[in-house]
Amino acid sequence: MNPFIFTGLAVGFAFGFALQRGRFCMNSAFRDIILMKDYTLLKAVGVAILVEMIGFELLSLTGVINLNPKPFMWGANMFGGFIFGIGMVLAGGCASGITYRFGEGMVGAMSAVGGFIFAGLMTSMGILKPVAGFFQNTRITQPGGVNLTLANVLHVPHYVLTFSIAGVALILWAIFTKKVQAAGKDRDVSLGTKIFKKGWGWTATGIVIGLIGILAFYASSSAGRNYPLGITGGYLSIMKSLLLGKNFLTWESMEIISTIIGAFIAALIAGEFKLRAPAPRVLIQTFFGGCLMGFGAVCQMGCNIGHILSGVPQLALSSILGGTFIILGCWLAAYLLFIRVKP
Amino acid sequence: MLGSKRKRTKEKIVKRSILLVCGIVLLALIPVLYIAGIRIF
Repeated sequence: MNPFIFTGLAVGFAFGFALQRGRFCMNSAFRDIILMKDYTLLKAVGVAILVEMIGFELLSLTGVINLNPKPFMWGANMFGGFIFGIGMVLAGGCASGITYRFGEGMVGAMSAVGGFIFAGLMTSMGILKPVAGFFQNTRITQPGGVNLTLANVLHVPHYVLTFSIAGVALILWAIFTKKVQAAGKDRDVSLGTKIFKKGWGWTATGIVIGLIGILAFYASSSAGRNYPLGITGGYLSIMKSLLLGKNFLTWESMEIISTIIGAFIAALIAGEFKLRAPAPRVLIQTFFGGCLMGFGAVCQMGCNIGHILSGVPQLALSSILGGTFIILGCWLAAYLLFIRVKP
Repeated sequence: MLGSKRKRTKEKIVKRSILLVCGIVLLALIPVLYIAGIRIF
């Protein structure tokens, strides 16, 4: 076993802590746009992607990491992404959302994680494998088997596209930044209280999660995995180890174990940990939502973290397409569940 | 009250400057790296 897989413990802990403090959940981020016209969490997602884009590119240019975009399988990215998006609304959280809420003691999130793992295993090695295989047969690569990125499709050097997008985004952010909000009493609060007791703002959350993503890429490539943050593979390898009695543990398994612990510690310090169980009907709904997420994630080879948070900053075409369909699925389910007026 | 407002305006200017400088540096890096011969697709 590569000893560097244990660096996943430190990265996962920081990730779980930041997720809980920033309440970083892409289901809420995308859903709140159409439900409440609230862009707060979406801005945190955008900042995290921006920070990672710059970090990944600099690490790649200096030869520390090799960018590793996921394979473009248009059928799987579209279908899997869409199913995943519907599932996360039913589950009440994206892959990272249900993971940090698991650590907060929310039984609904635990049920969603159960469904996620159950359907994930069924899709990776059970009866749903042929279904996923059907959609994965739509793979397209560059000559030589190189996975598609926006840069190699447009025949532009990767760093030119990355730095152009990031540079323009930063300048636009500077131009359109609004007045720094008056924080009132918060100005007199100590840094420790701001970090451990108060919820983080979107800028801080985005920057911290982006930096953790960069650290994750470096640490996991040292462990031979060579990909930034992920969730699905971690859960599945833990369950495979438990079910089959063999050691399938990877860097991502370590990361996911300590993500839950990190979220638990953060919630405990902030006084937000409490075992909360919803009605049985809601538990069934979150389990079913988790199942849809598990199928979608394995089908398109990545959840919202693997694709949107880790793949989009690498300009992976699979992640851009998969991420778009996650958002579309989320919006459709949110519309049907919360907006459509029932007769 | 007035001091607090001034402080917020100053914070906004600092934030804007940092973002602008970072954005311009990134854009300026492109020709520098290109001239340096990094043309990997």
